[in-house]
Amino acid sequence: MMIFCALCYAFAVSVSSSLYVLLAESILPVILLCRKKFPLPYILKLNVINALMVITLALTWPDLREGLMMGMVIAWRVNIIYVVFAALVFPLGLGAVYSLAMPEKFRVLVILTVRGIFILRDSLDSALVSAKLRAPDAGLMMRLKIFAYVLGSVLIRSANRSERMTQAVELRGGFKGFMQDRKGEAAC
Amino acid sequence: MLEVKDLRYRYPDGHEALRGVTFRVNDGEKVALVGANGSGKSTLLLLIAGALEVKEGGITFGGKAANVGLTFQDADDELLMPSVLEDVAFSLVAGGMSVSKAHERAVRMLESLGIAHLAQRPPHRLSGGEKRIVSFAGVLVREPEILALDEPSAGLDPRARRRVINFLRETERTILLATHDLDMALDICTRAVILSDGVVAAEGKLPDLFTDREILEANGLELPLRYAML
Amino acid sequence: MHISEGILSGGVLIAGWAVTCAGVGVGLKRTDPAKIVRTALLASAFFLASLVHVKIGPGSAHLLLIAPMGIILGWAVFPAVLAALMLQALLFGFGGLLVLGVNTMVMAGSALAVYGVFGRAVRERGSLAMAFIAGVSGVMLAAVFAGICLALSDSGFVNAAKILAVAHIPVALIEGAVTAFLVAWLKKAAPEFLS
Repeated sequence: MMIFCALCYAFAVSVSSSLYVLLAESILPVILLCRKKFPLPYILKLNVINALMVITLALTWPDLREGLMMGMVIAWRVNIIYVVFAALVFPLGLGAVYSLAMPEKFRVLVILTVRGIFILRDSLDSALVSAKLRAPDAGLMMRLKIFAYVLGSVLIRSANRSERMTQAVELRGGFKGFMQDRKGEAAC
Repeated sequence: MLEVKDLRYRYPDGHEALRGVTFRVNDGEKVALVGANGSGKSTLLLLIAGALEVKEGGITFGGKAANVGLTFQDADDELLMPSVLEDVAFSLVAGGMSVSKAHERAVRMLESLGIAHLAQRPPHRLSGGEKRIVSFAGVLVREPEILALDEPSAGLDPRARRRVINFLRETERTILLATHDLDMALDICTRAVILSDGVVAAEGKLPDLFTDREILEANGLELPLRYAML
Repeated sequence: MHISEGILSGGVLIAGWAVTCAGVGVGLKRTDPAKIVRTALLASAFFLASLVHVKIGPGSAHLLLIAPMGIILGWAVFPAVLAALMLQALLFGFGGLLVLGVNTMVMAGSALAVYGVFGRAVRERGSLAMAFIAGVSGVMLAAVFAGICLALSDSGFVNAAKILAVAHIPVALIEGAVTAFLVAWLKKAAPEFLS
């Protein structure tokens, strides 16, 4: 429900261009900013990127003044939307995603992609470190080759691991075992 | 009783992993399957567990339906869910049990193994030993009659390894333990089957079989540390 | 390549989600349940690889890996990309949730187009030239799709869209090289993976 509300709010902000409407829509993020602690570096980084975007739009827009205004409106919208998401959605974590209404196959895909990220992260890092140690002065082409070869190796290992994981799923009764929601209520 | 008769298996790529394996395991017995890498141990366990289809030869369970719980060499291959509790409950939910009932049983299983405190932890935040015990929980919750374990000590530190050994020693289930860790096999099992190149090269009681240096070396194995140091 | 929140019009956002839902629906239908685990692990491999900083000259870049994803995942690329981008937003706070539909459409749509046009030549014949062209095309297609979304949102974005496309040419060439090297490696080390 929280995710749905946040998305609706973000949509409303995205389609707003009136300054008064944006001002009204800024009340919620201001309240959220006052109530919760926000990682300041994240907000600053967001606005550095916004600043670049404002300049780019101003320079590429048919009319310079209009481009600058548009850039600032977009930057304003971005800040509102990100503060709302950061306060209301991101803290919910993955549990909220798993309990969203979505096709079961997709939910299983998301669950296993998360597992895959944590399983593969270390082995990819190790492979890249090892490659770097073995070719410390590699030029651009060599670096791209190394990256491609490491990627190939990780893809093959992932595919092989997926066969074993599929066997594990089948041995444990099949994909119905994924039908558990975070609150422990009956899902089947 | 588990009976394996003239079991053969060839993978789709043509590799013949098993070339006529025959042996028997009695109820409650703990048998070690040992052999060098590529001898066919993992393939044999997968066939016994039903993950691979038997095409040549036979596997019977004394006239009963098979109820084999298999743990994989790499615990990460079988820890699928976002939390330990959900992972242990996985096979119960898959079998049609309601989620709440499955979670209750899973909690009891975790408590019996002394790892109830890990219930809400995601698998990637577990140590190697914890992952191994959780994978046992996920298999034991279905109450298998036969526990098939593929290299259960792989990647474990000495303390975690000892914990696994103690756990397996105490269980009364039939155990098939595929391992390179001959010292672990000696601590848990009463009999061993040595596989070599897809066939049974030797079979016998422990510790006698593992004191025969010639047989061990002929099959790519070495004396267990406890004998090697004498 | 990610378009940020707050830029696109309501109509483009809705259209993006509609195309993404359709693509994900078809992708899931065409993916055998037994292959879901494989799709998930390959998706996570691509996701992690796309986070890697590849040093290029004085700076570094993240590769998009659009062509490799399309060639290897085929129709499953739509659900895989949606899952990966969703997790990127939730796990790392990078990228938006409302604009997820458009970003998925841009990346997965380009990957699927590459699969459709070059998939056979690369997978069955292992053609490195085709792999290079596929890599370049994947990125340029994504830049063009993103540009179209911007231009449809507001005509004032047209110049920015053109600059976006041109700015991606160097990345496209690099991706072409990486795709060719990857296919060469797979052809040698694991040809069955491509078939």
